[in-house]
Parts: sequence; structure tokens; C-alpha cells
Amino acid sequence: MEKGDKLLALILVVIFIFAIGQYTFVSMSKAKRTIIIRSDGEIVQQIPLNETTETMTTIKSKEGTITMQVKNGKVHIIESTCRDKLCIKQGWISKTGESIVCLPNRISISITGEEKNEIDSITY
Amino acid sequence: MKSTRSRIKLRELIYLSILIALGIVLNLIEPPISPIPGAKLGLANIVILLALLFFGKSEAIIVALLRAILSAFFKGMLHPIPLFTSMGGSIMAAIAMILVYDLCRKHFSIVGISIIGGIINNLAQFFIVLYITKNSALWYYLPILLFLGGISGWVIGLITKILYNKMKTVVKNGS
Amino acid sequence: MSKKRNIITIAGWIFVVCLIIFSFINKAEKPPATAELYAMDTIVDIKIYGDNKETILKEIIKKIEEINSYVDDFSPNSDIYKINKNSGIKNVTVHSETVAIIEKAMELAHNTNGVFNPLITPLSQIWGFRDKNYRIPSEKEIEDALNLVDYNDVIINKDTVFLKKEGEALDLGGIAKGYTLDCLKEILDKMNGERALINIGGNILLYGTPPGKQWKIGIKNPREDGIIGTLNIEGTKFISTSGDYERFFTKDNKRYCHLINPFNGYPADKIFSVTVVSDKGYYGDALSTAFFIIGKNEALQDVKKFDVDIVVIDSDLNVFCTEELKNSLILENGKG
Repeated sequence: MEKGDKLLALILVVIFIFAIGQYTFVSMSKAKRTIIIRSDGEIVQQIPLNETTETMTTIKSKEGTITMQVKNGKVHIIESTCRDKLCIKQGWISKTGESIVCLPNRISISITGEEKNEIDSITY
Repeated sequence: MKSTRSRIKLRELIYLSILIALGIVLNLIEPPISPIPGAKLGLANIVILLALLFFGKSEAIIVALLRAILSAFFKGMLHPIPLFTSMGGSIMAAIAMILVYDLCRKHFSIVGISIIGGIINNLAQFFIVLYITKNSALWYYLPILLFLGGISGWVIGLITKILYNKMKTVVKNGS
Repeated sequence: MSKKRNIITIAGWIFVVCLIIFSFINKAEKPPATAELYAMDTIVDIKIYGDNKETILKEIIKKIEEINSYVDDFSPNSDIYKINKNSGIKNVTVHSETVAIIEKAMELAHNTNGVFNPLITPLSQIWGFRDKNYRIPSEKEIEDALNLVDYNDVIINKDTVFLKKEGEALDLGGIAKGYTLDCLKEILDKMNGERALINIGGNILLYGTPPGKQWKIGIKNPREDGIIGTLNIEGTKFISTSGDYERFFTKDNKRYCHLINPFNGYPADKIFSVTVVSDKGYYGDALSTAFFIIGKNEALQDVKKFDVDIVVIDSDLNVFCTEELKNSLILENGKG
């Protein structure tokens, strides 16, 4: 093992700790989960995710369409017009931070923990 | 390219072709890492490293490029974007490994260089997908991607080392 | 020895490069000048960005307090209090700013055919909204109050204001906040403000362009915690909302809110809330009250007469909006 290798091992340990910390704090957080759907780079929909939410939504982008199903507090893509169907193969996601990306359709579905950190203000 | 062409002997050509073919096969059979579409383990790095160790920088680059382009043909233009990401990752990793080998080979073992290749491979793929989807939520996956890249790089490095030692006698002496 | 040093230098350089890359990715923004104060019977939230943000902030706070002092009908020193006290008696000399606000109120009263009525005070009174003694008034009380809401009884003469009948009283609550935001926009224009967000009790002035290109404004859910949707707004705009959830009381399972129909004397109950997006603050503020009173279909019809856009939430919590906003409104429950 050369000196450089030792540095690499150290870096990997640090990264690993990061990953664990992230999993603990982000994914296991009890914060209210929200599904954020992006199409062509823009957020087009936000759906709160809890154990009882049950919907089937169609999301369109310039490149194609996907159908998303929410059930039992989990999300997955059930149908997609893309060729490779990789997005469907990604299966279910349910934890904060997780994402499903359909690259050919430029659609991505992510679960965030913060309620609405993107709002500038509320009118009432 | 001119000078390398004059250095390539027929034997080298055959070895390189075998390596490239092997790389294509490895890339085809390796599983994708979700949810970054197109992100792969980077098994093809084995052949790039071998080309680097046996023949040199320019040969390694040629192998990397040809491997990527031919992989694209074999997969067909069905899924252009995942192709793009795995190509990008593979080439960036190749460049990184070649640079490290060239500049500070003293500090890193084969396994070490491979780990760097693995990390850079995933790093590049991550940024490519990030750029395409503009989904900031993907940053969540970066630590685990880098870590997995390092681990797979480690495993690939071990495999490469074993192969290198086994093949040393055949390749070097066979001319 | 030298191997160790080389590694450290390499690591050091990688670290520096990473830092540089990160600093470019996260162009950290300078924090705004902010203030939170209580004025016009509500909370005011101010955020100013840009070079002379502190000076602008001071001017803005000054202006808010100034206008507040003129229109606060509960404070004996205010212009409005004095006008109301002398209703049916004599005219009162007031600040020119006060006259301006009243004139704008008259303008909207005429444009909405009296749906927006700045003389609504006697009706607010009998339902208990002014002293928080909520009650259901008798038919006679309502009838009597309805006789005191003729906005044509407001006589303006240069800098004097006179209310013809005793018992009539001005309430500028439905327009003052919007008007104030107009003044604040003028200040920002004059002082070359870069960007600002000012929220006076839910009435919002969006000034300039935020880093994300679009302002994201949440519309409060009229019946539940949180927001029902988000409006993506570009550039400088005024946002006003009128809803039945701010000041109300419930009796026998029926909700009575503070927005009263000046024609029948009863609190309006056709819809839960309406949000107006406009280019003029006083306009949007008054119109949100008017649209709330007339209900969904009429509002979506009449909105074409005014140069504004609206979002209506009806009594089934269904959300409707004008054509222009269809692409800017993102609902929480997934309908794009």
C-alpha cells in the first residue's frame, strides 16, 4: 500500500461517514414528506406523501409521458413512454431524499422532507 | 496520433482489440446503479487499466474512446441518454486514471488508481445526470455514489492486478 | 519524507479546487434588510435586497407608519376617526394622502357598482366585527345599517371630507394595505431598489426578480393548515387575498365572516377565498373584497372588465383561476 492509497482509504472512510450521516438524518427524519415532480427542469407538481395518499398521476414533458402511482406511502413509475423503461425498473421509493429519474423524458420524481422551503411568502 | 500509429505493432493491435471487445462485453453485462440512469459500475475500467499498464497512455485513451463508441453502436441508439452518461463517466475516469498514472504513479498502487477511476466515473456520471435533469434533489445520492465508486474501483483494481500479474508473462515475452 | 509532502500538497490542491468549484455553484446571496412590525391591525413583513437596502427599509417603515396613522379608525388621532366622528355634522380637513386613499376607494366603489363599499362600517358594527362582540343582529338592525352605507354620501372637497349622514363611517381596511403597497413601490422605484418582498397582512408586493426567476407565493388553504397551492409570479406584482377564515365566528354550524355584502347586509358566504394578482396595489386589494362577495361565477365573469388575474377557492375547496394563471398555479394535491 502506497501513501496515496492510504489517503484514498481515508477519503473513502470520510465519504462513508457522510453517507451514513445523510441516511440517518435525511432519510430517517420524521419530517413531513413531499413528492416533488420536475419536468424539463421545472417543478410542475408537489404532492404531500403520507401513509394514506393514494393517487395515480400522469406527468407530461416535451419528450414524453409517465404515469406515477402513489400507494402505502411509496411512489413508483408504472408506465412510461421512454424506450428503456429504466425508470420503471427503479421500483418504489419512499424515503426522504430518494429519487426516480426518467432521463429520456426529462422527468424526475423526488421526495423531500421540508414542507415548503421554496415559498417566498404566503398570501392570506 | 501519428507517432502512436507507428508504434503499434500487429501484436499490440490484437491485444488492444481483445481488450476493447472485453470492455464492451463488460459494459453490456454490468448492472445499472439506480436512480442515476446510465450510471454503471465501470467494469470497463479493467481493460483501460490493463491497456495503460501494458502499453501506455495513448493506447489507454484509444481503448477508452473506442470502447465507449463501439459500446454505443452495440447498444443501439435506443437509449441515447444513459449511453451518454456511461460514456462520459468512463472517459472521465480513463483520463483521471491516466493522469494519476502519469504524474504520481509512485504514490498509488494499481488498486489505488482504480479506486480513483471508480470515484471519478461515478462523479462524472452524477454531474451529467444532474445537468440534464436539473434536479437538485439528486445531491442526496452523491456520498453513496462516491463511496460505491470507490469500492467498485477497489474490486476492479484487485481484479486488474491479478489479471496483470497473470498476463505479464504472456504479453511482455510473447513478442 | 518527500512522498508524504507530495501527498499533502496534492490533497491540499484538490481541497482548494473543490472549494473554488463549490463557491461558484453556491453563489451565496447577501442577506436582505428585514423588518417585522405591527401596523394596520396586522403583521407586516419586509425584505429588501440590493445596495441601499437599509435606507430603503427606513423609508418604507416610515411610510407604513405614516399611512397607518391616517387610516387607523380606532385611533382618535387619525384622519378617519375624525371624519367618522363628525359624520352628519361637519367636514374635516385631512392630509392630502388620506384624500387620495378615499378617492381611490370611491373609484373602486363605482367600478364595482358598490360591491366594494368603504362605508361598510355600520354593518361590520352590528355583526360585532369591530368590537369582537360577535352576534347575529336583528332584521331591524340590518335594515337600519343598510341605510348608512350609501357611498355617494362621501363628499370630498379639496382636502376636506364630509360624511352626509350621522352614523356613517369610513372603513378603509379593504383598500389601505394595497394603497400602501403602491406607495412602497413608488419608494422602491425612486430609490432604485433592486428587489423586495413586502407582506402586509397577506397583501404582498413583489418587486423585482428573485434569483430563481419566479417568485413563489403560497395561497393559504382556507380550511386546513398550510397552503393549497403555489403561484409562480414573474416580476413586480401585487397579490391580495380575501377569505372567510381570518375574522369570523360560527353559530349553529354556520360561519359568519367579516366580509359583508353591502346590499343584503349579511356576511358573504359563496366562496372560501379569492386571490387577486394585479399591477396596482389598491386595485387588487379592493377587488379581492368585491370578488369574494359576488362569488365564483360572477367573479370569473367580471374579472375580464378589470386588468387582473384571480384564483378562486369555492366552498368545496375546488380551485379555479383565470387563463393567464393556469400555468403559474401549482396545486398541492397534484392537479397541475
